[in-house]
Amino acid sequence: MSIGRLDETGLPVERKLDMHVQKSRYRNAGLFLSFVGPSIVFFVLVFVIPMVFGVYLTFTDWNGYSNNKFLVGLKNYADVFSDISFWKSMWNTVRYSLVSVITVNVLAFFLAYMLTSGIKGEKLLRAGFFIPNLIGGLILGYIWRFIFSRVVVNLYSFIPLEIFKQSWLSSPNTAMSAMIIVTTWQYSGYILLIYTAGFISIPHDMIEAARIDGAKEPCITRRIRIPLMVPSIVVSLFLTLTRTFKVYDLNLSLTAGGPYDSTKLAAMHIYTKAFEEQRYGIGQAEALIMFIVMAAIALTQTYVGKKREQEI
Amino acid sequence: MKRALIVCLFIALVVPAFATGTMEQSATVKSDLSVSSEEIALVGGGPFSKTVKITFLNSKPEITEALQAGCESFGKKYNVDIELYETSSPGDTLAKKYAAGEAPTVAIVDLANIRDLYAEKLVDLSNEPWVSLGGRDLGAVMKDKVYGMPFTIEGTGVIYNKTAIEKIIGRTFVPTDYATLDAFKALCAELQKGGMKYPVVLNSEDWSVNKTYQWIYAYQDGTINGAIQFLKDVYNGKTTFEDNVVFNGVIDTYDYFASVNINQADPLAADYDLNASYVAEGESAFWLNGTWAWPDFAPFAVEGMEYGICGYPINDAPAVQGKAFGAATKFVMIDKVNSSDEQKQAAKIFLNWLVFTKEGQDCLVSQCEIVPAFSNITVEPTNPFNVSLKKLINDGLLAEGVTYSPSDHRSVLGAPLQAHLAGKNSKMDIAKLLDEYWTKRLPKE
Repeated sequence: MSIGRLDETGLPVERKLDMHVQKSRYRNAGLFLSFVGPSIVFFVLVFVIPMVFGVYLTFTDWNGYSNNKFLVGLKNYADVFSDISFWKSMWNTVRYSLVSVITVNVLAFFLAYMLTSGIKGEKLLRAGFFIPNLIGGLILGYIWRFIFSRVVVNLYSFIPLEIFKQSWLSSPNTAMSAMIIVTTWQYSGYILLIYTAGFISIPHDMIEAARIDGAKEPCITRRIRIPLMVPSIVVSLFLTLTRTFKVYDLNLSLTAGGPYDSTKLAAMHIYTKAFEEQRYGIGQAEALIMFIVMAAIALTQTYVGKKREQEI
Repeated sequence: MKRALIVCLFIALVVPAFATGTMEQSATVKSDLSVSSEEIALVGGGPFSKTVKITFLNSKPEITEALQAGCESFGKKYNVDIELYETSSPGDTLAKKYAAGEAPTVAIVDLANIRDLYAEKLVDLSNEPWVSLGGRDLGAVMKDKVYGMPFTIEGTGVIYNKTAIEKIIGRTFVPTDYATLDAFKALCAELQKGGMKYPVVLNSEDWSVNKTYQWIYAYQDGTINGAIQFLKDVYNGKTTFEDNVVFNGVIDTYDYFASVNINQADPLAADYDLNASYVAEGESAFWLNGTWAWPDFAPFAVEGMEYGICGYPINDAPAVQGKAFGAATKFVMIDKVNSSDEQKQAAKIFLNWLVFTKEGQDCLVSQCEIVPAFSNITVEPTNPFNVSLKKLINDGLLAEGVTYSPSDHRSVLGAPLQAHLAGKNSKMDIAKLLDEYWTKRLPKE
C-alpha cells in the first residue's frame, strides 16, 4: 500500500495541497462576495423581486389597495391588446422617441464637434449646454409651457408668421413638436458630454496624418471620426432611446397628454390605468409590454452598433 | 488612523441628523385641558391623558393652511398631535401609504376612494352622532353603512359677474330669467351689443371639460335616481344619447358657449387663472365652473363687484331649468388597519369636534370656506360663490349631483369633448361615444 509523500507534520503532501487550494478558493469566494455581494443583494431587492412581483400582478385583478388578488389568467393581456388608447399612446411614444433620438444625437454630435475644435470659451459653453439637464423635467415642462402658450403667441404681434398665431400646445402636431424641442434642449447637453469624450479620445496623430495625406474635414469626419466614435454613438443612442421611451414628467407638465390625448405617451397612459382607474393588473401588463418593446429596440440597436465598432 | 477618526466623527455627527425620524420622541402637545363637560358630551370624549399622535391626509390642498390651524386648536385642547399632509391625487397616495403600512388615520378623499377601500380598510361610522344630521343622506354609504363623513358640498354651475352684466343691460340681473338657451342667447347678444365681445369663458382642462357630461346626467330629472335610470336604460339598449332631449340640449348650449367663448380663437390654450381674471374683472360675464373655483378667483376679485353661481341654460328641459347641481364632493374616512383603537377614537372625536363645536364649525365655514353638509351648522358661508350656492339650496334650485361615474370617465371621455371644443368632432360623434361607453359600464350606485 502506498501512502505517498509525507510532510514534516506527518500529513500527506497532496492532501495539504488540496486544503491549501480549498482555503484559497474560500478566500477568493469571500473576497468576491464582499465586493459583489452588496450589489447582488440590492439588485435582487430593487430589480429582480419587483420585476417578478410585477409579472405576477399582470395575472391578477388587483386594484392597488385590496388585500385580495384573484388570478385572472391572461385576461389582462387580452384587455391590453383590445385597448386602442394604449396602442395609440405606444405609437405616440415610438414617434416621439425616434424623432427625439435623432434630433438629440445630431445636435449633441454637432455641438461636441464644435466644442472640441478649440473655439474660445468651450468649457463655459459645455457647462452652459449641460445646465438644462440639471433642471427637473417637471419644472422644465412648466417653464416651456409658459413659453409655448404665452410668449410664442405674443411674438405674433411682432412677427406675423403663421407658426406664432396660436399656442403650440393646442394642436396635435405642434404639441408633439414642442415635446421634441424641449427634450432635445434638455438631453443634448448631457449627450454632448459623451460625444465630447469620444472626440477627445480620437488620436490626434491619425487626424494629422489624414490632413497631411490631403483629406478634407468632411472626409476626415466621415472616414475617421465617425467610425472611431461608434462606441460613443452606441451609448448615446441607448441612453436617449431608453430615456425618451420612459418619459412621464415632461409629458405631464408640458402637455398633460393634450390636446385631446394626442401627445399622451405610454408611461402616462399606464399611470392613468393603474392609479386613476385602479386597474393595476392591466397597467402592469401594459408596463411589461412597453418594457419588452423598449428592450427589443434598445438591444437590437446596441448589437448592431457594437458590430460596427472599430479598434484603434 | 487620523482619517479613520475623521470618518468616525463624521458618521457620529451625520447619522443622528438623518435618524431623527426614528429616534425623535413623539412631541408632547401641551394640552389646555379646559374642555367643558358639555363639549365632552357633544364630541363623545375628553382630552387624552397621554398625547395621541394621528396622521391626516388632505386632498383639498387649497384649504391645508386653514385646516392646519383647526388641527392645532383641537390638538391643544384634546392632547392630540395631528400630522397634516396634502395630496392632489388621493387614490395614488392612499395606495402607497397602505402598501407601506402607514395609512393616514384620517383622510379627506373622493367617493371613488371610499368605494375602493371600505370593505377591508375603513371604520364603519354609521353610529356617529353626525350621521343623523345629514351624514347618511350626503355621506359615503356602502351596503347601508356610512364609511365616509361628507366634508363639503360643492355646486357646479355658471359663475357670473352680476355687476358687469347689470352695468351693460341696465337692469337687475335675475339668473332664472335666462334659464333657457334662447333667453341666454338674447342676453349675450345684449352684452355683445353693449361692448362685451365675448360674454362666456370656457376652460380647456380635461377635468373641467369632463364635467360638462355631468349636466347631461344630472339634468335628466334633477335626481340621482333619474340619472342612474337613464344610464341603465342606455346600458340595456332601451335608449341612446342621440335620442335624448337633455343630451341634445346640453351640447347645443355648450356649442353656443364655444361660439361666444373668450378663448374662441384657440380654445384649448385657455389658461385657468386668466379665465378667472376675465370674469372677476368684468371683461367677460359667465364662467362654466363650480364653487371650488373661489380660491383661484379671489385674487382677481374686484371690491364692490358682486359674483354668484347659477344653472346651465337649456331648452326643452322645464324640470331642471335654472338649477345648478351639487353634491358632497369630499368625504372623511378613518382607517382601521394601521391605526390603534386610541387613534381611531381621537379621529372620531376630531370629526365630532368639527361638526358640533363652535370652534370646529368656524374652522370649516370661515377658515376653510366650505359649505358643510350638516343641518346643525348655522354659520353663514363667507365667500360669494358659497353664499350664492346656499341661496340656490334654499330656493330649491340645486339638482342632485353626480356620484355614480366610473373611475375611467375622465380618462376615456375627457379628450373627445376637448376635441369637440376645438371643432374636431361633431355632436353625433360624442353621442356615439357616450352610447359605447355606457353600454359597457353600469353606473356605480
